Amino acid sequence: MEAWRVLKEEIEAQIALTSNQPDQDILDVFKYSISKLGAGIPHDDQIFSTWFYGAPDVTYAADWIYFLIELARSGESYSMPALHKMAKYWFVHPSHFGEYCGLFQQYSFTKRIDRMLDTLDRDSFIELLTVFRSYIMNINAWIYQYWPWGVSYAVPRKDRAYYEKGLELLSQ
Amino acid sequence: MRSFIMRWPELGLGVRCKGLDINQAAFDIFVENMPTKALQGHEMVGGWLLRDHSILFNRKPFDIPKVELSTENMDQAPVGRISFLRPQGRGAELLAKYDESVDTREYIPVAQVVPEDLEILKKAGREQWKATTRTREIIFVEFVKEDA
Repeated sequence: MEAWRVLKEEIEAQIALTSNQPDQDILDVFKYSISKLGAGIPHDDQIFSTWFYGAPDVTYAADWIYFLIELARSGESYSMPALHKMAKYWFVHPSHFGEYCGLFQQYSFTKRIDRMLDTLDRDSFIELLTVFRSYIMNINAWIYQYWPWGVSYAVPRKDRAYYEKGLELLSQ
Repeated sequence: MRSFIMRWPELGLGVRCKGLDINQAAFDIFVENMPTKALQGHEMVGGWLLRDHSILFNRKPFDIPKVELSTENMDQAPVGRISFLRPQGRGAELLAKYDESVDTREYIPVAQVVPEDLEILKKAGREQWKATTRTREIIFVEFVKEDA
């Protein structure tokens, strides 16, 4: 079996798993606040900045893969070398940052896709990225589940009237 | 009649959704992929919308070109609207508007919750908001053909 098809099957297995439960990376980073590569340690040993930067990169990866697939469809003028180059720019880099934050499985897949990009024709490029996007979307859904949205009550929106009231109080 | 059920087993709630006059092919692909389920989430910026970040099309891929899909602005959509965001290949995001939205962006409407079930949808929305922001309960949503 071709290497990309082997990888596709492995991703499919992870899609099946993450359709029902989070994988261990998500639990470690977003539920248990464990980031194994050291992200956040220099910054007073907190996890919040790792969540803040790591979570959007997974969202970006899902978005950029969507656009890559759209651009790869027949009728578009992008060559395969151009698409490969965009893939490296658009999702390999954010995926690598996700690994640094503790999301190892997704970057493991990304590295393998990156290594085989030059071997993919248009159809296999679309097919492999389509499956990878589904996996990333599942991961993304679990990140949203464990993100501490309740923290948002500590930072309410403010407006002009709020600051005008503050100035009024200061002038008294 | 073209319809499906959107239900939340953990909440003991469900609503009936009907197809629209537009995007009927998108609706049909969605129904062909049922039964399916997803982790239920909530929109966190644009208003009172249930949001599923990963709806999977495991049986029939979504292959309708973007230019063939009608869109509407979420803030203008009626309460009860079921919409897709970026449907493609094996997946899409899905939003269910259960009250006011301030999101002016375009989405792809595919279904509408029937009027008699709108209060149930609102209840599900409020329960999910509570889970997302406070209890952290994991809630799944299921989509099944109405005759299932």
